[in-house]
Amino acid sequence: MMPARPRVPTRFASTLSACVVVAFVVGCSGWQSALDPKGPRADAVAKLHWSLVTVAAVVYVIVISALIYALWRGSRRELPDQAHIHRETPEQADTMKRGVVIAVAITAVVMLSFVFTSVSVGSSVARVDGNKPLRIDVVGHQWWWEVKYPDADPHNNFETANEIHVPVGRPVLIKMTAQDVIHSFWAPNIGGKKDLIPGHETVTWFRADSAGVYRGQCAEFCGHEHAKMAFFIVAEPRLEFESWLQKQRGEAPQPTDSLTQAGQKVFLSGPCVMCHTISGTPAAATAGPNLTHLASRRTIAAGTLPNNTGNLAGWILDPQTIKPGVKMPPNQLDPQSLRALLAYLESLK
Amino acid sequence: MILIEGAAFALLVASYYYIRRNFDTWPPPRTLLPELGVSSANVALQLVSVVPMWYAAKLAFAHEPPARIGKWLLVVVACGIGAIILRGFEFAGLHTRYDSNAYGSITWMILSVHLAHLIAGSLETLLIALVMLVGPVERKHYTDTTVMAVYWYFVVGSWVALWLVVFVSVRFI
Amino acid sequence: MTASAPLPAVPDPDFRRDLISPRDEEEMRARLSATWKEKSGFYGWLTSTNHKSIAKRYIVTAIIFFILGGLEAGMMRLQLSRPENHFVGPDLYNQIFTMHGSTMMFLFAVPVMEAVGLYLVPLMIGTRNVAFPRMNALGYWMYLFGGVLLYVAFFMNTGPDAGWFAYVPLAGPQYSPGKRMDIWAQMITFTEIAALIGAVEIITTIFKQRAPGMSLNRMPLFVWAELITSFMIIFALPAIVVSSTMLAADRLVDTHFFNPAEGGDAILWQHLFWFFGHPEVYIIFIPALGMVSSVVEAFTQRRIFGYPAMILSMVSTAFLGFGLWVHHMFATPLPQLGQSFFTAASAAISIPSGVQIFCWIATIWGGRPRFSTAFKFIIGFFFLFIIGGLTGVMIASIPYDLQVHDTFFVVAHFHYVLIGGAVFPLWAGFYYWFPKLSGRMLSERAGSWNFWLFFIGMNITFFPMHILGLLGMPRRVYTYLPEMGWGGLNALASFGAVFIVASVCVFLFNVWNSLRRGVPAGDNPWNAPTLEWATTSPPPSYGHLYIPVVEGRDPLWDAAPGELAVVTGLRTDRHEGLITSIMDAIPERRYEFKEPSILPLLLAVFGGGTIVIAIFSPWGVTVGAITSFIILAGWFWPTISPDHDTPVAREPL
Repeated sequence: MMPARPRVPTRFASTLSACVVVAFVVGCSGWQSALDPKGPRADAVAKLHWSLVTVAAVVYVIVISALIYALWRGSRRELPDQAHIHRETPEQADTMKRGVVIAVAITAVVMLSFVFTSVSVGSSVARVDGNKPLRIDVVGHQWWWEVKYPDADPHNNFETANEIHVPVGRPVLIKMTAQDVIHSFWAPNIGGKKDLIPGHETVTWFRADSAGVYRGQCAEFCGHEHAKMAFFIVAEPRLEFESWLQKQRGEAPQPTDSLTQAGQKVFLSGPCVMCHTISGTPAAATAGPNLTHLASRRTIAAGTLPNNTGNLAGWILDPQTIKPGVKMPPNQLDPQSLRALLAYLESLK
Repeated sequence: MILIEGAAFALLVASYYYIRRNFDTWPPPRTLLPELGVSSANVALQLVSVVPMWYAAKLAFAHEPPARIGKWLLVVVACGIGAIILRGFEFAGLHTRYDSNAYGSITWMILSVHLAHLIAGSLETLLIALVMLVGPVERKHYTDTTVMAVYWYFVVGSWVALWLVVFVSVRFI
Repeated sequence: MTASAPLPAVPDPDFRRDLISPRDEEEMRARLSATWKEKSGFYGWLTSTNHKSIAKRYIVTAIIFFILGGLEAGMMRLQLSRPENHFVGPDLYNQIFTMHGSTMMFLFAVPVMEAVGLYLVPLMIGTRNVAFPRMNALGYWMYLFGGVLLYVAFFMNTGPDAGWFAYVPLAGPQYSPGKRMDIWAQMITFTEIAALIGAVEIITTIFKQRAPGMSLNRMPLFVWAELITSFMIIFALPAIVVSSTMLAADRLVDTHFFNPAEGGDAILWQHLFWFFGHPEVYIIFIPALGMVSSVVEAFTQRRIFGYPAMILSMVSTAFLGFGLWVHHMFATPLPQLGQSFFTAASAAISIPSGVQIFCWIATIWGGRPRFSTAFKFIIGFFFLFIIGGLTGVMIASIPYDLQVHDTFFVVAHFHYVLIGGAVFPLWAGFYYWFPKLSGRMLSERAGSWNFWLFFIGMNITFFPMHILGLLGMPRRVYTYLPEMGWGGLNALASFGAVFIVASVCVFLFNVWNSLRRGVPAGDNPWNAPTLEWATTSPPPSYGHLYIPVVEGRDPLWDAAPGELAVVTGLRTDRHEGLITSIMDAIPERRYEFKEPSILPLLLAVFGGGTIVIAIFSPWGVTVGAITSFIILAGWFWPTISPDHDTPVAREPL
């Protein structure tokens, strides 16, 4: 079972080196990068990262230099007389002992300060920073994210999937569990990960301090399509967030023209209703993501594809080609029904 | 061997208490407390079996004639068989099945693993007893006997600890 | 304590005894060769109980698994070299990375470290075989069958696919239907038995069979390393025995250990698995530390500085290694305060490692380094392992770990510590001990290519992964989207794999070529101090011609050339060895090693068959227990050896 040797054309090689340089220079920023923090948790860790890297680099250089010096010194030595050939002299032993003891002492001090720093950073990022956190529930599924926004008034509760909107500057408290296997919620720009474990409730929090779209991805192997289980955090100014919230709380818009009405019929009479909910219609199944405001989302299939007509069509017709192993079956639809269905789904803003 | 098995038992006990934390009541709802009667009898029987085993080991250490040693070892084997039979009743006395819930699973596993030790220990003791009684016997079989005794003490001792966990502490936690 | 035959003659160390005449030596050699001759033919190979033959088999098998694991890694790197690649699909990829981890950890790393110990420890301590030769053979067969089971399953597309760590509920009956994970769980059974057997052998042999005069504080550091590792195996392996049994039971007979709906707990699996899993990596690492000491001594011609500190460091590492396991679980809902304890322990374990590194540097500072291939690999070890150790401390920090856990940063970390900290010392060990094993020297020129290709390739492959992890790339993903910006670094990492493949090819060629045409090695081509170099290369089946008597820590440096004190009087007509006391190696009595037998293979076949049946049906356990017992009865059946031991008169019943 020898793998084919990869071809390395020169164009590839030059692209490669360009990529390396670019990666180093620009690579620190990115929409899923721990080194491009957009909130206090990620920020604290990014700072910690740079100080740890610095200390580690200094330690490494010192130890390796000592090694290189020892190698150099040894290889230049004249051949000693037989009596001491295998053993250090008492004077050498003293020097060595002193050296080792000092080195160990410095190591211990460095380790102690590391532990202290780590624990204090750890406890400071574990505390919710800010008032009146927004409450969100997340349930992990193979291979999508169920997102619920509970409210004191139960009429305001709503569900969405794979996209989390939050107001900038306000802490968000997330309670999580998993429906099937262990998943892990991780959006590097805003903070550390937390596992979603069936049978347990886990809690995490974050705060986004600048507006933007941040990508997260499942960080615990959860089966076939673990690689394609992403989500987006959309941090927006308070007013925009409130208006998004209001729209999401409402039921799905009713179809207005004949095409969308036909599309709704396709939806309600097909297998879609076995798994999906569209509030305001009889479809109320919860095996798959809630589609009530599907058209308001940036991506489909848990961050795998941008949300546009072509992708949506491809996904509905044959999700197995895009995400093999996903729980959604392929759907045979004639072109007319498909067009109607797409029109309906795209009206669900 | 004893270290390995002892570590395994320790982990099973730790798992038992870990699982306990997943339940509000212990044993779980609609599960009766495990029978103290038959299990206490089993503990007593095993503790009793230590005496003939100790005596056989003492005789072996002093290089006494093997026939006597063999007879005492047979007494141990009889106790072992008794313990195995009682173990059957102990399973029933758990009042749960291994596939009912995690409580059932862990208690059955603890009893089963220890049962395996009882069986292995009894069979080995039987083997040494047969050698002692039928022959031919060599000096090194004396050492086999004293070593077997240590293993037997482990089997009994571990059961005392496991019994305390499964049948006694359940009433308090 | 009785010995029916008088103890063999052990010379008083201060008394200059007579030199043994060459004629006596010849006679001794002839008789021992006849007694210890390995049976010929295929049946002889199947029944061998010679520790050197068995260890060589272990090593060759482990290298084959290393190559298979490497091929799996190659496939992974090919798939990940470009975004949205279609080289393998998700199902096959998930099997491949599970196989890669399981192969490297269970079928290569632990077995090879134990095997090098099984070969060298008896020679280094001056005995002729391990304490239980047949059980040693059993260990090998169980290991082989476990590996074969796993690969047969893989080639039939039923390879395990839930990761080498098999987290539940994913690995449980509901989300991993079929037999894939049952096969994984039973592969664990095979390899755990082999590992435990190896550990028992090493501990017993080291405690009771050391050459007279080799008190504990005169043992080579490699022997200490193997001893400490074996104790770790004894205490760590039961955790995976228990957890894999629970998993198998959940899958086969519907128990609920890990089923949250019935009170079971997914986190219980993690605790049990990592309680084994973390010590496992030290089980791999500590023998490598012993190898580093051996090679540094030989190639600086200096005894290692700080012998007691080195031992204490290995012991502390072993103890501390049991207190780190929660650092794999920082993202679970365990209380933060408790987790912080594990941060402290994980940072603390770097201190004994630091002690060792500083002592080695001190040794080199005072010695005369010779840059052989073996020594180059040791220098490579320093460069690579220290990086891995430093990133390890970084991820011991909980807030830091919560960003890089389960990303390629961790993949980079553990490959630096495993390749740098274990594989490089192992390769140094190969170049160092190959002359002893085979009687031939490996080519230094090819060795240099081997080293540089490996060193450069390893860095090109794994260093970019640190960055990939920080840029957000999680582990165990079969592909990634082009817009993530990870393509360049992934391509670079995949490119580095080519160097590693080339390096291994050079190594294999070097071995093959040297076996055929290598320069003959003498007894002690490196002028090393330890006892394995006192016998011929390769050693005869009986190890040393005479059991040596040891008066210091570096027997071959202390003794005048050709004048090593030895024990005389051991029988040459049977497989006899000397048992000595634990602390000071004072002779106690004679011991007879068991001769070749087919029983280990039989037990492995029947016991192994039981285990395989247990994949499909719980009745396998019952049937297998009975057949195994029958074979074990035969194994332990008391045998009377004429005039070997005193028969005891029976009293009439």
